Amino acid sequence: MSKDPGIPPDKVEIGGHRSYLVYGGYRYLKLSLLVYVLSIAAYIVDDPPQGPSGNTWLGYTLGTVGALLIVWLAWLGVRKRRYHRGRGAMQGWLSAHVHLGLTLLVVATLHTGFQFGANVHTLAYVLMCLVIASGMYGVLAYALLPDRITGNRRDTGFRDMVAEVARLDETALAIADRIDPETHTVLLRSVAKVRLGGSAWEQLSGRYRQAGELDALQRFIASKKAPAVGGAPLTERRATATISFVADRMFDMGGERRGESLQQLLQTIAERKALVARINRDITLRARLSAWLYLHVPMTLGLLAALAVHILSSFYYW
Amino acid sequence: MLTIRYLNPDGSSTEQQLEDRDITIGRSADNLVQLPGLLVARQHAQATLEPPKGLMIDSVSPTGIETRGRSGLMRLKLGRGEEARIGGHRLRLEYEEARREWVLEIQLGSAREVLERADALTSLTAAGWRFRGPGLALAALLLILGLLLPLAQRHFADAHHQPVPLLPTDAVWLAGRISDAHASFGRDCANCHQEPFVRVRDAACLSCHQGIKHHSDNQAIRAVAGLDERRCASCHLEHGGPHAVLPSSPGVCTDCHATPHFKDFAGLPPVGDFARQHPEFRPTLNTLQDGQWRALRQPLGQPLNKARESSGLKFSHAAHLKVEGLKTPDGRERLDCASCHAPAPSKAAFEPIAFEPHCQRCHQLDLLTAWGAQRLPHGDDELVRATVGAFYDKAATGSAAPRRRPGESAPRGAPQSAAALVDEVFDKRLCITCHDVVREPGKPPQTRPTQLQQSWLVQAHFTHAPHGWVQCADCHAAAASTQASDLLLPSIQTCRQCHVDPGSDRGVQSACVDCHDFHKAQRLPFEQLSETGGGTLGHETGKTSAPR
Repeated sequence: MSKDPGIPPDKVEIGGHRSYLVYGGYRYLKLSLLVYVLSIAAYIVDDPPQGPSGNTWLGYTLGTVGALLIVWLAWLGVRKRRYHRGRGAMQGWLSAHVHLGLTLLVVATLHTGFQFGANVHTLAYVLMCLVIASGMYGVLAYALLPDRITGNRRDTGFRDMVAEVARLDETALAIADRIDPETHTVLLRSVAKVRLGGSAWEQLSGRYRQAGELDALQRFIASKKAPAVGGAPLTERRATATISFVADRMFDMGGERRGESLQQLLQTIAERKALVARINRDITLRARLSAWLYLHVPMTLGLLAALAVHILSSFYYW
Repeated sequence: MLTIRYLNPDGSSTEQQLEDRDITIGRSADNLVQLPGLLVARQHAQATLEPPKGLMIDSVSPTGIETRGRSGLMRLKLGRGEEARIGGHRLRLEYEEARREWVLEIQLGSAREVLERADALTSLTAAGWRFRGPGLALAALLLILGLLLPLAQRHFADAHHQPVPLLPTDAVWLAGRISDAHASFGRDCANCHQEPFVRVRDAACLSCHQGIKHHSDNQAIRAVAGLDERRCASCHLEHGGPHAVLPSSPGVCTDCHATPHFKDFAGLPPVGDFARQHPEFRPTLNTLQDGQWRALRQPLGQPLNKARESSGLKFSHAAHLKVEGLKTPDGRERLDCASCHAPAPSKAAFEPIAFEPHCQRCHQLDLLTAWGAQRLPHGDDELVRATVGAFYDKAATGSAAPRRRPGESAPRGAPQSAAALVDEVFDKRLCITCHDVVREPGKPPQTRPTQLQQSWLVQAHFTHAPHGWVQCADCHAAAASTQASDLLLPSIQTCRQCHVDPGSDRGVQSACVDCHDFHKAQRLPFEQLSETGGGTLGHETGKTSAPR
């Protein structure tokens, strides 16, 4: 699979999520309904002497259909990256992939005859269920998240937002440098601590570690500022250490030009803070949009292996 | 002393010679080493060259120094060949042997580069998540653990090489629990699955189940049912649970036996299930037709005069089961079924009824005459006749007889000859009480040989053993039976009160094979067909013959 998650950060496709499911006048929905009805009806009608299992003519039939479906559905992953024959063709593949992928749940479950155990056969079944579950998450994610990503971006590309953070950093540093070295130092520290994104868990949970910006900065400010300002108590709960420092300065200095600079600095920092939050939100939404694929694809490879083990071992000891 | 070499982004470089060991680093012009960019503090750091250790750097600015992924360091020893970063600029200390000089190389960077945070983890891929690697690893793991190791263990394991513990064996392929009957050898799959990718052969089953017979000797019956092509495992499916290897579903049998044309074909009525589509029992009776015994099979409930069971005996169950009891030599006694019908040791059936243990205590064969009494033997007509004759001779003519004057007639009612007394014993007094007596012209009377049947439902097997908790009268209407020819077998309706088809929850689930044998051919052993791969037998013809 490609190293890229498949969705370039600033090229998330949206708007097509409704149409692919009903592609071609519900063509694949109808096909999948036919598969459901046929396999369930056959299962009900068939009354093998020893009870339903994979070892009856219906069991072999459902197993063959299921195995071919799995291979064909997995082939979509290869086909998808080989060539794009336009949006329609791709939508057709995707529509078939989703609808027929869901039928697998019925086909394969009936193939088992509800006989489960601690063996390679049930392992293949469980893997298949996990692949399908992750795929169902993917369908939901692509139905819900792209709109939210667009709403959060406000027509700005991801790279543009990152460049804007850099520009705001530069502006803030320049202003701080005009005020005094101490303020510049505090800003430097703050800039170094601002992080975009984070570990996979931070990305998915949306809770990003920003402690560096708060704790170290606040300690530094407290030590530097206490004698001059008269020791206004800094609480750990203040979430905007840089902003409060600049605000304190503003009132301490009194000077009009300095006050203006500090006001500018305050605005710039607040702007940056909001932008960083938006970028991290974007990262989180994209992570949640693509996370399922990191399970779907590897588990599909695992499923293909488990399927091979299942079939080979079944016929090795026929 | 120390050379500072500035490497510009455009590739050019400038050098600066410093005489002092102590240097200052910062953005303002009063520093010995001046670094541009807003990420550098005006006074950022102080450094001292301490050969041969290197450059000791102390950060003046709280921003600190960065090296090897750690940032905000306040003190750092920069050794030879080591690198540190200040405000986006890379500092590297070298000792140039040729010039015998320490050189601090500064690769000048741009603040923008740092601020754009190119190394930020902004996607799951950047955070280290991958598709192919984990997928291939999972696939490889499954192939190794699920296929290759079990195969290797199977291939190399023999009497001397036990499977390596903890590594997966072919047990991970086990699709379902082996039946209890086969569990003792079922651990080794190869005992049955003798050849890879080939279905379990009958030979594997027949190596233990020797002598098992086919379903029918009739090739036509086997052919129409496709039985010659079937393997043991077609019906006996393993890996289904403790008893699954015994076919319990009626479908195994009714696939053929339910078809209406089966009656024309095999002389058997169609049977679809037990609850509704099983015909009434058809006991096989001993009947007497034209003086000849014939076995006749007919359904229960047919008019009794059409064919009656003949045993050669007369017997009334009702007379013997009188509620008020019977007069016996030991006083009045009430009999019950067990008084005569004693279970055989297997409890499946009963001990045969015989005269001496069951009848004689009450029915002593005493011939009472005016001359006295004579006890007769049982079971031998000839001996009876001889005994009666001897008694007559002795009584009527011997010293024991009362003296008779000339002209005086014999006692009234007394037989006039030994033969007459024999006739009387057989025809009127003793034998005929219980036995059919046959008279043929010119021959002495004889009792008809008895034919006491032990089993009537010969096409099925029934055992009384599990039915011990049921009262005899629940199934056998003996108390109302006055004729020996009454057949006291229960109707199938009686059985259906408790027994139901497999899968029903309304009673005791009972499979076809609980009463009927499948492997019931008389002559043809199973292996004879399976060895030839299920062909036809040359000596058999296709004609049908109705089974008994």
